[in-house]
Amino acid sequence: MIAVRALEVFFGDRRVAHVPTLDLAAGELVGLAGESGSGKSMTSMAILGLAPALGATVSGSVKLEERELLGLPEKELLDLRGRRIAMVMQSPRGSLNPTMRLGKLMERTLATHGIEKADARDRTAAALADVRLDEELLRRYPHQVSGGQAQRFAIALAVAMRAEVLLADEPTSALDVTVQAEVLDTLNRLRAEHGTAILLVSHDLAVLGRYADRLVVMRSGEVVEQGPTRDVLTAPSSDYTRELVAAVPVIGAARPKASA
Amino acid sequence: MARFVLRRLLQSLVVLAGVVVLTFAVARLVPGDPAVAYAGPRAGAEELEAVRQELGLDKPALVQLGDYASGIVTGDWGTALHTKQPVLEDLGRVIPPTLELVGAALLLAVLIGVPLGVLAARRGGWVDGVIRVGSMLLVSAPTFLLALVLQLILFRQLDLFPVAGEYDPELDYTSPLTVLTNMTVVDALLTGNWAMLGSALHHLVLPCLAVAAYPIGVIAQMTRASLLQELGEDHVRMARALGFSERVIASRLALRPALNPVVSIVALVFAYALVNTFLVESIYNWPGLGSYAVASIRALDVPAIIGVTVFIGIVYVLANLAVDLIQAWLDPRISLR
Amino acid sequence: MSALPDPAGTPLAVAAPPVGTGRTRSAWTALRSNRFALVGAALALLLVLIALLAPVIAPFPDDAGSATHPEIALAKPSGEHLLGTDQVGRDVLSRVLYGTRTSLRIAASVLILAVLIGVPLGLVAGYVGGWLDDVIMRITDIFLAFPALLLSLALAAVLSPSVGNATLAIAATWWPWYARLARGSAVAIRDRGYVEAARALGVSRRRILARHVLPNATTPVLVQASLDVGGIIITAAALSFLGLGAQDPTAEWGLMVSQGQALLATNWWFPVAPGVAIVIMALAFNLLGDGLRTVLDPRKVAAR
Repeated sequence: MIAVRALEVFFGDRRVAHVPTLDLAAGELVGLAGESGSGKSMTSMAILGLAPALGATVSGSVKLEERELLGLPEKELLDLRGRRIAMVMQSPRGSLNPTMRLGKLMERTLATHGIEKADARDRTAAALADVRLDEELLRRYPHQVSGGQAQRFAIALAVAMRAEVLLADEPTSALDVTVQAEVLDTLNRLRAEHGTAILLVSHDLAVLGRYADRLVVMRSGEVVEQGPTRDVLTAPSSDYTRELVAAVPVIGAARPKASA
Repeated sequence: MARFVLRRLLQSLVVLAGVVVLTFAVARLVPGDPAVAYAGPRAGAEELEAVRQELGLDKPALVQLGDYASGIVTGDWGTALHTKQPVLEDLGRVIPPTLELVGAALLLAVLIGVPLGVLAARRGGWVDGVIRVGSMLLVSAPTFLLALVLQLILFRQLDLFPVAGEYDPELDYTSPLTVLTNMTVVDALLTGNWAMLGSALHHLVLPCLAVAAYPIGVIAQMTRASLLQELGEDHVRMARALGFSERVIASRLALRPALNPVVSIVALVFAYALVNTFLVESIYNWPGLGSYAVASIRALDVPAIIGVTVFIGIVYVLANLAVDLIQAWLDPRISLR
Repeated sequence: MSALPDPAGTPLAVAAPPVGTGRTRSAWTALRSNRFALVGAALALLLVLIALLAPVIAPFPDDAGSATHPEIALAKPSGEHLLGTDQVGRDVLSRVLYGTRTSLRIAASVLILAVLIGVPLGLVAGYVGGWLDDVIMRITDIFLAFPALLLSLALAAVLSPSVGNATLAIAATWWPWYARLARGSAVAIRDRGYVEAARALGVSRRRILARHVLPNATTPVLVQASLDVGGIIITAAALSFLGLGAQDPTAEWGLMVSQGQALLATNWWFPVAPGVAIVIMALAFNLLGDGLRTVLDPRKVAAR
């Protein structure tokens, strides 16, 4: 689905992210791990072509099914964003327009991508069902829903658009541990039921260990390790990964297991 | 929401009461004997005494205050010294033209200021620079100076616009106006008096521009700053990720929450403009509240001055209340406090 | 006019949050890169210099006082009188230059009064809270219920017209805003960790106010003050224009504009020159204040 090659993100002269290769296949959940400042967020921004808006310059190649994304004219990028590649961000309620009811946001998003009203209604209902949210929530404002609900709504936006790729940038970092599971399970279901390719960016190795098929570890902008989750976590080849794994608090002696 | 409205209403009432008290206290500082001002310098002692009783000046201060306060509520605002008319009646006569002027100026200010602010925020670069400097200039220029300069350039030099009164006095004969609201433009519109309408609009231009200048500057700056701040918010990044174009984001998605502080500014600016008309009206011979106030001040007409002050105080309190309510409506987060 | 009806200047000053004072060096570097603020600062400095050096640089310093030369009244601009003469023959240029002193003096007096009255009241209200806070805030509400110019007008009208009384009238309408600002700072700071610690250690309230709460209020007050200069001098000019402020022969810009108003058609430079002076001074301090706010406000709006 997504093939990233030789991606470099610069702020002025400073390189903040360098990803030689990163592949994301349909139905796969790839975890992008690292601490703050490791360049993982900028990587996901760059994939969507949002890096320039933040003041960064990007070089390299990002392909969506053979189609090169970097350097695409804005109009085409606008079409792709939300519709084929969707994003869920870290701040649940903050990423939703405070003056717009959720239903309105859903409506406008679908309308912007040219989806007809009747179709939009059906999609909305189906998407909400997928993320297990009540339709009543559509009448609410972002500050009237919980963090978990807000994130699931953001995911619902992606589902309604039938996005093939979902970039989840620290979607659960601002949530309670108990609520995290709800959101992550939703992502997992998305992967299983719709075949969505998911890039899960997180600093939480335990979470990634549970849900990710493959793992990419970044540090200070560089990729230090990549591979199937089980391999990376049980037999890390880089010292950094070893440290990260060792730092994960475990109850009893259970090791984080990779999902099938 | 209802509770919010109620709370604000009560607060406003308390402040209004304070306004009346404060104005009264200030008025008490006036040197000289109001009875003399009313009856004239050649009135005899008996006459002065009669006037004093009539005006209630022989009662103790607190009682006077009480009388005055209850008078305000019941509609008796005293009698103006320089017109010998009830103050409330005077106000009724002079307020509409000022409303016309200030209303037009504010409308202009919003219609020009907001788009300018949005433009500056979106374009950046030299457009932003020009608009910023321009707004700074507008904010730094005294309204009375602008009124004079406009008069100088557009009337004396270029002879494009008139500078006296609300309309061409000849029209009183050729196309007399049926007075309904005492707002010339509105009345002319309502009665289809096109000649009058044209003349009235023509006369409105210069004073309106003078009064609108500062509000334009403030609104443009505020819109720009607020929008720029809003554009850095998470929900804007999300909107981009959802595929909304920059144009839609700047002109609608981000603008709506960004307009919040702008709305509160409009109330402040409205009251400011109201007081600014004092100077503009006396320069342009506009028969409104401003001219009345200036005349009252010059004549030390205390009841009239108090009347004007209390009136504007009331307007200001109401304007702030209206703004709070509009803000709560625009930004659903507020009313839940 | 940066400050009417509420002395809010460009209104972002309304919400300026408290900032620690240990940022002067980085603030200076940031200020240097803000061109507008620099221009403003330079202009303001220039104006202060003019005010200080007026007796030296004005061609006819006596004309700023009680000297009159009716024989050369209303002369057109010439080599000798660059801006012509006024209705009693005084050199307009000299009077405009001296007007700088009058305006700056008024602005300084008003600000000092407003800060001395408003800030302590606000700090106490914010820090102590409770009924004291309520009372003080209601009082400021009432004062703020009037557009500043109006209250100044009313006050100046009832007191006999003079620069001093105009100053008092303006100060009386300006202090509430500083009380509000100071209160905001105090409220924000009183629950901070280190203040709580000081309280727990038994430090006296007065000391806490002086040592911790007060420094925090200095930044927003400073920003507001520079933004207010423009508004104050314009209010003063408006009062003089109406005859309620400076009286002849004081060289005050508003007074000069009103004196020249009738002569707009024939001697336009006479009322316009002092008017332009007002704009320049207001602009200078507005730019400076705006720059200061951008630099010292941690939530600063990104300048492109």
